[in-house]
Amino acid sequence: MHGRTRWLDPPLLFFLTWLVACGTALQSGRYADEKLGGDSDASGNAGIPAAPTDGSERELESSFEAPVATGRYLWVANPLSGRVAYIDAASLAVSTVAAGNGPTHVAAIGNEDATIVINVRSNDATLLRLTATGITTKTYPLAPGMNHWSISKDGRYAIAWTDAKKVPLAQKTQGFQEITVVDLATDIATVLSVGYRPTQITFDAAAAQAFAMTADGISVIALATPAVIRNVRLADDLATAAKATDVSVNAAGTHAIVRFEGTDIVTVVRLADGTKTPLLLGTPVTDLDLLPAGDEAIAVMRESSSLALISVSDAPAPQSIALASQKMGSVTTAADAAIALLYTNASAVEEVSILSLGPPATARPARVYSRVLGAFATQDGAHAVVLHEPPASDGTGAFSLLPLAADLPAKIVATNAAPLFVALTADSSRALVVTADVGKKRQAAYLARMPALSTQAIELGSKPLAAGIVEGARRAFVAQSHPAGRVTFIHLDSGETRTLTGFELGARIATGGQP
Amino acid sequence: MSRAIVLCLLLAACGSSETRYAPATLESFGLTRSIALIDRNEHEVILLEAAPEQRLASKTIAVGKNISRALMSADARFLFVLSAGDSPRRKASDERPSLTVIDGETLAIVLRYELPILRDKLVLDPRGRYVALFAGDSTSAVVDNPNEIVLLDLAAEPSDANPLVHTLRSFGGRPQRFTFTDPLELPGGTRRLLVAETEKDVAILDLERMAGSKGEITVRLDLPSANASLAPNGLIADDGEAGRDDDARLAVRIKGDSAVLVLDLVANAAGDLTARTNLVDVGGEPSEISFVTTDGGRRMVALVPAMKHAALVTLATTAVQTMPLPAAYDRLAFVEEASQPTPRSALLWGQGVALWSLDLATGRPFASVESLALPGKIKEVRDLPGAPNQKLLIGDQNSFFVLDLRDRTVAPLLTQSNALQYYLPRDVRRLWAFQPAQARAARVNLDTLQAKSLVFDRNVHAMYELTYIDGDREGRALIALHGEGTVGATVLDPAIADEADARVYFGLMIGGVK
Repeated sequence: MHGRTRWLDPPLLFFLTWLVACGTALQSGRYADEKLGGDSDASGNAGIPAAPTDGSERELESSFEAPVATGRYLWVANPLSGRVAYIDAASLAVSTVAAGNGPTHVAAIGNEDATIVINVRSNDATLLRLTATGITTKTYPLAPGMNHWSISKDGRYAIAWTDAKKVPLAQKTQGFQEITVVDLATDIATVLSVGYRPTQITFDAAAAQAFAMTADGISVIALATPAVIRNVRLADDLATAAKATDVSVNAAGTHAIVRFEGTDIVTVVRLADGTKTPLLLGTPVTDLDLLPAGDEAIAVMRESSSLALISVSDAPAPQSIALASQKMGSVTTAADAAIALLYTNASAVEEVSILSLGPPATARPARVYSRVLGAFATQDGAHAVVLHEPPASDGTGAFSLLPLAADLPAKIVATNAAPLFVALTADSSRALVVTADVGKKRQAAYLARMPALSTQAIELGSKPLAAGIVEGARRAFVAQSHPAGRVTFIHLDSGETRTLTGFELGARIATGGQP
Repeated sequence: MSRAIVLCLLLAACGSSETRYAPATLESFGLTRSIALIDRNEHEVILLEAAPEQRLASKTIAVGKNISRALMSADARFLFVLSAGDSPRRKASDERPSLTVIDGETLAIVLRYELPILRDKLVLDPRGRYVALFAGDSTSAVVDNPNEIVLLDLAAEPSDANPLVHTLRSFGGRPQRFTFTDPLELPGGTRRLLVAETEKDVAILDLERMAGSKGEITVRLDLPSANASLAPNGLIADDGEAGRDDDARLAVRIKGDSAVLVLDLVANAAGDLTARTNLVDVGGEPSEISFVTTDGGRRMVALVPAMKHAALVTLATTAVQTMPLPAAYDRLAFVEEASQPTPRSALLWGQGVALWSLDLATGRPFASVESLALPGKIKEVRDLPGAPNQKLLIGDQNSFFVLDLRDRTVAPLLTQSNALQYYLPRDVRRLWAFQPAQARAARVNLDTLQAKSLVFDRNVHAMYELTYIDGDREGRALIALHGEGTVGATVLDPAIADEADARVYFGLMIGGVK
C-alpha cells in the first residue's frame, strides 16, 4: 500500500467537515501506512474495530477527512458558509475565501500553497491558489456526487471521484462510476466512466496515466486526452476477482500487483495487455504492500511466518524470507529507507519484526509490551511509532517509540485514552500521537521527539478529528470537534501550543480602515 | 439633654414667582467629605458638609441645565453631572449639553466640558482619567446615530479634540456597555483599551490611537451561516504574564450561551494590534468569569451555577477542567493578601458561601473548596473597612453575616427585613443598616458586633458619615437623609448614636442650611 493519510474515526461535525488530501497529505507529513478506522464500540472508544473472531488481520480503512496543509497554511472548508478558511499556522491569522455552494472536500495541489475543493451542492470544484499578491480562484464543473480527490504528484491533474464507503446507505445499483479529470494546466474538466465503485485512483510517475481500482479491475486512463483506454481484469474468473484486495500499480505504470483474500495467490498483471503472472506463495497472503521505490512489493504470509519480495514486472521472481519471530500478518514500510515493519493485530502478539530489505533481506524481532494495533515508520526508517490495543476496561491506551536503525529497546508511553491518529514529520524527528475517549471526554496529543524518545502530553479541549504536520510553520496540528471549528497547533521544537476556535469569527475581524 | 431642633430658614426669593422644590425622587451621593443632592428643578447640586456639634453647612453649585445623569467616581471624590442643556436653543446664551465635574472635598467645580452632541449614558473610567458618553435606548432627536460616542480625557485640556466624538464601526448593532481596561502590555507598548459591546459585536478601541480608525478593532459575532448572532454580555481583561506583550486577552460572556469568547490581543503581520478569537465551552451559561493564578498556572475560571461547577480553562489549549462545587455559587471575589503578589484564595457565594484555595485548584480540586453552611442565598458580599480578612455577607433570610476568613468564623446578625440597605463608612469599624422609607436604623460595631437600634422622626432615604475638622482634631457626623418633601436630615455623633443628641434639619432643597 502507498503511504496515505489514515484516520480512525468518522467525523461528527455540525457544519465543518475536514478533508483528506489523498496522497498529497504526504507533503505535510507522513502518515500511517496502515489504515486505521472503524466505528465506536460500546465503551465509546471511537475508531478501533473489535478483534475479528476468525483471526484475520484488521484492515483499518481510511474513513476520515482531514484539514489540508500546504506550506505553512491549514485549509478548512465550511460547507454552510460557502467559504474556505486558510490559517497561517505560525501567526494563527485566519482568512477566508469564497468557494462554491457547499465546499467540503479539500485536497492540496503540488508543492505550492494551493488547494482544490469539491463544492457538493453546486457540483463543481474551486481551485484556490495563494500568491504573494493574494488568493485567486477558478471553478471547474464536476460530475455529481464527487467526494474524493486524487492528485498527481506534479500537481497538474486532479481527479474527483466518489468513494462509496463515504456514502451512507449506498444502494447496490449505485455504481459511482463517474469520475472527473481536471487538467489544471488547460483548465479542462472531463467526465469519464470507470469500473464499478472505484476504491483508489493512482498515477504513474510521469503523470501520463491514471489507474482506477474498481470491482471490475483496473481502469486505465490516458490523461493527455483524457480517456479510459482499457479495463484490465485482475483474475480470469469472477469468483477470484471478487477477492482482489491490496491492488497497487508500480511507479512506471506498467504493471499492477494484487492479492486475493484468503488465498496464497499474488498476481502481477501487465497493464498494457492484461497478461497475468500468478504466483502461488504456499500459505494465504495476509498483506501486500508496494515498496516506496515503486518497483517491488512485499507479501506477508502470517501462517508460515514468512514473506516474499516480488518484482512488479514481467519477471516477478519472488524471493522468500523466513521470519524467526512470531506470526506476522501486516507490513508497513519506511519511505526513504529499505526498512519494513512486520506485525500482526489479529492476535495478542507483543512483538514486531524489523526487516532490513538489504540485499540480503534480514529480520530481527523487537519486543513491545502491549498488543500491537498498528505501526508507522518514520520517513528515514530510523524509528517507528507502534500503537497498542487499549486495555479491556479502563479506557486508557499506549503507544511505543521503537528504534529501527539501532538495536535499542522500545519505549512504551501510557496514554489517557486510546490512540486515534499518528502524524510524522518529514524530517523524521517528531511524531504526534492523538488519543481520545469519547465517552469520558478525555483527549490528548503526545508529541514525541526522536532519537531521544521523549514525549510531551498536551490536553485537548474537545474530541480530535484529525492531526497532521504543517511543515512550513514547524507545527503539528490537531483538528477538533467544535461547531465553530477548532484546531490546536503545537510547535515541534518548543512544544508551545496555541488553539484557535471559531474560524468564521476569526476571519470576520475588522481592523483599521477595513470594513 | 433636650433635643435641639433647628428650623431651617426658607430661602428668600422675594418676588420670585418660581415654583419651589418638589422632588419626585431624591438622588444623593456620599462623597469623601460631603453629600451631594441633585436638584433637577434648579439645575443645581447641593453639597452638605458636616461641622462640629451636629451642624451642617451647605453650598449650592449650579451645573448645566436639565440634568440627565449623575455618577460618582470610584474613589468617591468627584461627582460627574451630565446635563442636556437648553432645548430648543433660541439664543447664543442658551446652554449646550455639558458635563460638570465637582470635587467633593473642595466643594468646587474642577472641570466643565461643553459637549458637541447630546448623550445620556455615562461611563466612568475606574482609574479616573476618561469618561465615555453614549446614546440611551431612545432619542429625542429627529435623526440620531447611536454609534456616535463622546470620549473625554480628564487629564488633557479641553480642546477641539477633547471631548472627542468618535463613530464606532457598526454592522447593525449599537453600543450597550463600555469597559475601560487597566494598562495592558500590548504589541507596540503598554496602553489602555476601551471596549464597547453591542448586541452583536465587540469593538476594541485603543485609547492612544483614537484618531481616525486605526485604533479600532471590531470582532463581529454574527454567524451568517448559522443565521444567528452571539450577543456579548460582559467582559474582563487580563494582562497575562509580566514582561510579555503577546498574552493579554479579553474574555467575553455570551448571553444565553455556554461559550466564552476569548480574544487574544496580538500583532498582525503589519505589527498592528488585532484580536484572535477562541470560543471556549464552559459547560453552561457562566454567571461570572475571571482570571486566576492556580497551582497549575494562569487559568480563566467560569462559574456555572446551573451545573454547580467551575470551569478552569487553560488558555493556550482551551482545555477545560471542570471542578464540581458543593453549591450553586454565582459570584467570585478574590481575597487579597498584602503578603501575596497574586491572590491565593477566592470567596464564592450564591447558594451559600465557600472559600476556594487556588493553590489546590488544579492539582487537588476536590480538596480546594471549603463550604460554609449558611441559610438561604447570599445576595451580596462587601469588604469591611480596616479588616481585609473580614467580609460582610448579605443574605436573603432576614440576616447578614460577618465572615472572618482567618478564623473561618461566621457571625450571624438577624434583621427585621430582607430589604435593608447597608452603609459602610470608610476607615471606621462601623456598619449602618436601615430600611428605606422607614424611620428605623441600626448601628453595628464591627469589632464587638454589638448592635444598637435608632429611631428617627422621619423615614430614612440614605445614611452617610462625614468627617469635619474641629480645630486640631477630626470629628465625624452621621447624616441620615429624609427624602420626603423638601428633604431633611438628622445629624448625630456616630460614635454615641444617641437620638436625644441629634439635630434635625428640614427643607435642605429649598434653602440649604443657614
